[in-house]
Amino acid sequence: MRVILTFAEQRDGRLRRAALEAVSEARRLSGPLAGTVTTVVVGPGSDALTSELGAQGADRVVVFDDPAFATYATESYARALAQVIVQTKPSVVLIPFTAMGKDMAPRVAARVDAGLASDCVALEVKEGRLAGRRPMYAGKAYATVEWAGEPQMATLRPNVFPLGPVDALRPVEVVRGSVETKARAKVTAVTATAQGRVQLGEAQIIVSGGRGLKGPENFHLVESLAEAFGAAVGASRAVVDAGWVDHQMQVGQTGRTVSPSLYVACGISGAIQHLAGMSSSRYIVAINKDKDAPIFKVADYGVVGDLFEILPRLTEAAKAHRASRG
Amino acid sequence: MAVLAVLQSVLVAALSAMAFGFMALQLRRLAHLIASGTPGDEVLTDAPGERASKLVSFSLGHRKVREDLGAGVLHAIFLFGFFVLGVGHLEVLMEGVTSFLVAFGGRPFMYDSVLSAGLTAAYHMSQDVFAAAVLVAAAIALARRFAGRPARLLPRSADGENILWFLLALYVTFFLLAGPSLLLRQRAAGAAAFSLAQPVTSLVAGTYGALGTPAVEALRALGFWAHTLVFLGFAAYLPTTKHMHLVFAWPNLYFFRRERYGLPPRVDFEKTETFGIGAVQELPWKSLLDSFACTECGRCNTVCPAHATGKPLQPMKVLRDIKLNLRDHKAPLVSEAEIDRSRPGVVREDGGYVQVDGQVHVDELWACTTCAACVQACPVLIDSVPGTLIGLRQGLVMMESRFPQEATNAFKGLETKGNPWGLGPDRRMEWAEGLDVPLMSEQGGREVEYLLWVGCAGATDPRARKTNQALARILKAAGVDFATLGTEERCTGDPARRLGNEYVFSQLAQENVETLKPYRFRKVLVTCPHCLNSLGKDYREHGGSYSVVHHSQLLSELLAAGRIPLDLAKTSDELVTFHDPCYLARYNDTVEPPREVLTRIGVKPVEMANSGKNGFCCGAGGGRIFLEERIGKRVNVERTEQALATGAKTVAVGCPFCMTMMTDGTKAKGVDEQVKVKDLAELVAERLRTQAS
Amino acid sequence: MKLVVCVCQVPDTETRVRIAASGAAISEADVQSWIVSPYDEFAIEEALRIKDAKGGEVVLVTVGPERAQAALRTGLAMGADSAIHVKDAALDATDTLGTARALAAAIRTLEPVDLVLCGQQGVGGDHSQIPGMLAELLDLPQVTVAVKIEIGDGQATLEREIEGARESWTTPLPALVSAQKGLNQPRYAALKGIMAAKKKPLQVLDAAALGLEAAALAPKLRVTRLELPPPRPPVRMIEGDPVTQARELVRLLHEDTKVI
Repeated sequence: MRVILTFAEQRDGRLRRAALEAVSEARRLSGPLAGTVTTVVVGPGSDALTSELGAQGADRVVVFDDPAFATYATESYARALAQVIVQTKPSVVLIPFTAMGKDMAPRVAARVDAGLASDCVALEVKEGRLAGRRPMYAGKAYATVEWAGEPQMATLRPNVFPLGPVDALRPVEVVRGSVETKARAKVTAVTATAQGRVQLGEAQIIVSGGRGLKGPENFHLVESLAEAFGAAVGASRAVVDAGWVDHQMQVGQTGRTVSPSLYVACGISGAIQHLAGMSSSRYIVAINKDKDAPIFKVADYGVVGDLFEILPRLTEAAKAHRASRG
Repeated sequence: MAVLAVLQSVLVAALSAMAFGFMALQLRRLAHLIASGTPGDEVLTDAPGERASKLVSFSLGHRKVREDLGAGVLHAIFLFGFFVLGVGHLEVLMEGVTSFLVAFGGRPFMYDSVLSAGLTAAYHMSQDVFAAAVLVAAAIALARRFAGRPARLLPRSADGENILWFLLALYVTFFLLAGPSLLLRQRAAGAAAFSLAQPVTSLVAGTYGALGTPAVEALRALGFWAHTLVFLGFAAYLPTTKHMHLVFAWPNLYFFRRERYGLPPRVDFEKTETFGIGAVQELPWKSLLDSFACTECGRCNTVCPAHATGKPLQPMKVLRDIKLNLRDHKAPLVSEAEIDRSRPGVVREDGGYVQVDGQVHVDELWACTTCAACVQACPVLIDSVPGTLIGLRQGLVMMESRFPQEATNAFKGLETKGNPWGLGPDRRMEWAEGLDVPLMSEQGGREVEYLLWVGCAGATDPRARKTNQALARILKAAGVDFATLGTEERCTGDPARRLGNEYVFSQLAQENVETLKPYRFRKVLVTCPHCLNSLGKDYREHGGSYSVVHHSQLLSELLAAGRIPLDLAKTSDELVTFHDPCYLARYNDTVEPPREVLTRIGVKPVEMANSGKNGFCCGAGGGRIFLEERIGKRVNVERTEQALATGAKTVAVGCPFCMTMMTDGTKAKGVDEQVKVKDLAELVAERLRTQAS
Repeated sequence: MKLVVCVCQVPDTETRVRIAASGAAISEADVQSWIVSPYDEFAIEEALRIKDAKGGEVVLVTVGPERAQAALRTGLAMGADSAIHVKDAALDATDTLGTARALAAAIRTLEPVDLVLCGQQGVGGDHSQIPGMLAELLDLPQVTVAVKIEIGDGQATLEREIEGARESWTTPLPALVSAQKGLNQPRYAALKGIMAAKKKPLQVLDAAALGLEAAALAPKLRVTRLELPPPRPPVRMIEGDPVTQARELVRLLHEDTKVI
C-alpha cells in the first residue's frame, strides 16, 4: 500500500490552514495513487489535533509531542519528518510552503535524497506517478515537473488547494514518534509584528495611499484596509513629500521597489516614478476617482469611485472574508 | 633740486619695477596654475575670425553686460576708462622716471613734448572726462554695495569694495595732480586758470588759484607722489584679487568652447585607471582659466534654479573654490563633510555652508540640474560649471561608488535593461499598440525620412506615451515618412552621463550607434530634448553623427507648409504659456519653433518672466529626476508658480521630464484640476481634423 | 573570518520569457541580459559588511555554464576577494540537489569556513531549496530568510520574518544563512571595482576535480513542460455602488487571484 505523507504545521496548538489543505490534497491523491494518508505533526499538545487531521482525511497520524519541540528548530523538526520518511517509505511527501515548510523541506529532501518541487499550485497523477505544476522565473512561466525515484516531495502553495469534505467519524490511527531533539540554531524569541505593520520588503500584499486621500488625517483608511488584508502599508512620493508618512513607506523609483502578489493603489494616479517601484506586482488593484488615471493601464482590477466611500467598505468586506475563512 | 630730481627718478623707477615686477610674478604664477590643468578635449584655436568677433562683441561691445543697462553703462566707463586713462598713467610714470633730466637742465618727459598742441589738448580732455566719469561710476558702484545692494552681490566682497576704494583714491589723486598741473601750465602760458579741454580739472585748479606758485608746485609734487603711490599700490594689489578678470577675461572670451558645451572632460576607459575629477589639476586648463576670468558679478547665482530654491549650490562659489584650491593645494576638491543644516551657524545667509571654502560640497554638486542658465548669464562666457560638477560626480560614482543611493535603481536599470525606470526592452512598443507605427526593421533597407526616436520616457511613462501617440497620429495625418526602432531602442544614456556614470553612458552610446549602423535615415526625430542633445551632440564622440530634429521644429515646419489638417474650430481662447526646456532653448538654440506651433494652432501664448534662453529650469535635468530633493524648496514648484503667475490655464511643454515636473508642480499647488500641462504634440493633435469634422 | 557566498546567475527579471523549441525550458538565446539573482546580492553585500567590520575574506562560489562567470565578476567588483566557478556539462541538466552537492564539494575545498551565505531563492528556478540542502550536506546549522544578522564571538544572532511575526534566532558558527530582502542595501559596484575584479583570482573546477559522480548529479526532478501563463487581460473595471464594488473586488481577489 502506497503511503502519501504530509507534514501538518501547527502554531500555538492550532493547525495552520495550509496543513489541512495538504491533508486534503493527499486524501484526493490517495484515490488515483491507491494509497493511504499519513500525517506527521510536531509539537507538545499535538495529540489534540489528531482527530481534526483524521476528519480532514488522514488515515494515520504520527505525533512528536516532546516538550523540546515547543519552539521550532529546523534540525529537530527536519529530523522528525525524515525519520518517518525512512520508516514508512512514502511515495509522496506533501509539505505546506509556509515559512516553516520552506525552511525545513529542503533539509529533509537532502537528507533522504529526494527530489523536491517547491511552491506547487497543482498536482496530478499520471500513470501512478505524480506530476506537479509550479511557477518559475518570478511567475513569468509555469513548469510541469516530474520526479525520479521516491519519495516525490512537494511543497504546496497555501490558499490554493481546496479543503476536502470533513468526516468527523473517520477512524484515524495515532502513533507516537520520538527522535533526538537537539538543534544548534534555535529560536530565542517570537515577536508578533505590530498590528498591520507588516514589513514592506517582502510583504505579499501591499496597500498604498496617494494624493487622492487629500490629507494626512485620512491615511488611516489605507492603514485599516491593510490591516484587514494582513498587508503592509506603502505610499506614493507625493504623500511622503507632503509629510503625511515616513519615507520608509515610499514605493517608487527613488523609494522601495516591491513585487508583492497583490498591490492595492488607493488614490494614486500612476506616474512613472511610482510605477517603476511596483509594476512587477503579480496583481494590481487601482482605486481612483479619475477613470483616465494612468494606473488603470497597468491594473488588473479597477474601481472608479470615491475613496472615502470605497475604502471603508472594502475594509469591511475584507474583514468579513477573513473571518469566514477561519 | 637736482638731487631731489634724481632721487625721484630712482624712486619711481625702483617702485615701478617692484610693483610691476610683483605683478608680473603673480601673473606668471597664475599662468602656471592655469597651465597645470589638462589639455582638455577640444580644439580651441580654430575659427579665429569667429573667436575674435565674439571677443570684441562681448568685451568692447558689452553684449551681455548691457542687458542690465545700469551695470552696462558703469562697466563701459570702467573698461574704456582703463584704456584711455592707462595712457595717462604711463605718462605719469615716464615723467617720474625721467625726472633726473632736471639735473641736466631739461624737463621730464611728458606727451606734450612730442604731441602737437591740438593733440595734447585732446589728450588732456580724454583724461579729464574719463577720470571724472570713472570717479562718479566708482562712487555709484561703491555706494550701491552699501545701500540697495543687488541680490547677486551677496555676500559682501572685500575684494570688490577694496578695488572700488582704490579707484576712488586713484582718480581723486589724479585730480590732485592734474589740478595743480593745469594751474601751473596756464600760469606759465599767462592764461586764466581754466581750460575748455579740461573742464573738471579746471574746477579743481580753480580752488587753489589764490595760492602762490611755489605752493602750487609743492601741491603738484604731493599730488604726483600720491597718485603714483596709489597707482603702483593698485598694480601690486590687483593680481591678488578677483580683478585679474581684466587680464583673463580676454583670453577667456577668445577661447570659448564651441563643442563641449556643459560637458565634463572625456574619459578614455582604455587608457586610464582613474576616472573623474578628484584633484583640481585634473580639470582642463580652460576651466581653470574660467575661475580667473570670473569677476564675481553674481549673475550666474541669480539665474541658478538650485540657488534660487535654497540649495547650497552657487556657480560663482564653485569657480572661487577652484581658484582657492589651486592656490592652496591642500584639500581634495570635493568635500563630503557631514552637515547638520538644522544647527545654527552652519548655513550662511546666502545658503552656502560656512565650513566649506575651497571645496565643493556634495550637497552642492548633486543639486545641479545642468540647466546651463549660469553659462547663458555669464558676460565673459564662463561655461565650465556644469561640466566641472559632472566631472566631480564622475569621481564619486565611478571611483568611490558614493552617490545618492536612490540613483542605484536608475543605474542598474540602464545597465541591464537600457531603461532607467527598469522597463524591459521587449515592452518598448507598447505605446504604439493600435497605431500601426512603421518599424525601421520592416523598411527593407530603404532610406526613411525620419527615424522616430521614442526615448525611454516615451516608451515607459504612461503620460509621455501620450505625447508620442499624438505625434504618430499627426505624422500620419501629414503624410510624413517615418519609422521607429521599436524594441531595438535603448536609453541614449543621458541620465547616466549627467549623473557622472560615464561608463554606462559610453556602453549605451556604443550599443545604440551599432544598432543604428545598418539603417538608413535622413534625420532623427525626437520628442525629448535630452535625446536631442545626446544623439545630436554627445554621440559624435562615439562614432554617431546624426541630424536630429525636435518635434517642435518639425511641427512648426509642417504647420507652416499647411501639411497638418487642422480643425481650428476646436481651438479655445485660453491662455497658454510655453515652458522652455533647458536642453532645447539653451543647449540647442531653439526658442521660436514651439511658439510658432502655438500661434499656428490658434492659441494665445503668454510668456513667463523667465523664458526663452533665460528660461528657468523645471528641476529634472542633470539626472535629478531620478534623485530625491531634500533641501530647500522644490525647483518644479518654483517654476510652476512662475507659470501660474501668467494666468495661463494650460502649460505647454516640449519634454517628458518637464511634463512630469510641471504636472507634479500643479498637484503640489493644488491647481491640477484648473491648470493642465500638455505637450505641444498633444495640443496639435487635439486640433486635428478628424473624418467627422 | 572566512565567508563564502553562493551566487546564482539568472535571466534579468524584466526579460520577456520565451520558451525553447523543446517546450521544456526557456530559450536562453532570447535572454537579453543575465544578472546576479537579487537575493544573492543581499548575501554578497552582507558578507562584505561583515568583512568590513571584522576583517577576513569573502569567496564566491557558483555552479553554471561559461556565462556564469559574469555573475562572479559582478560580486568581485562589489568587493569579494576570490571566486570558484564550478563548470561541467554534467551539471547543466542537474536539479537543486545536484547543484547543492556541487556547491558543497567546492565549499569543502575552502574549509574551515565561518559562514556560508546564500540568497533565499534564485529568481530563475525560484526553488528556495539550495540553502537548506547545502546546510544539510555540509552539516551546518541554518537560518533562512534572515533580515538581520549580527556576528558575535563564534556565534550569530539573527532575525527572520514569518507569517505575522518576527523570529529571533541564535546559532553557533560555522552556520549557513540565506538572505531575504530588507537585510541590507547592496552597494553599487563602481567602475574602479569592476576594473579591479578582472585581476582577482577565479578558479574553475569541474565535476571530476571535485570528486562528483554522475549518479549523484542525476536529476530527481525534471521539468517536462514549460508554459507561459495566459496574457494579462486589460483592466477589469468593477462597477456598481461602493458596497457592491467592495464585495465584488474581494470575491474576485479570492476566487480569481487566490491571493486572499
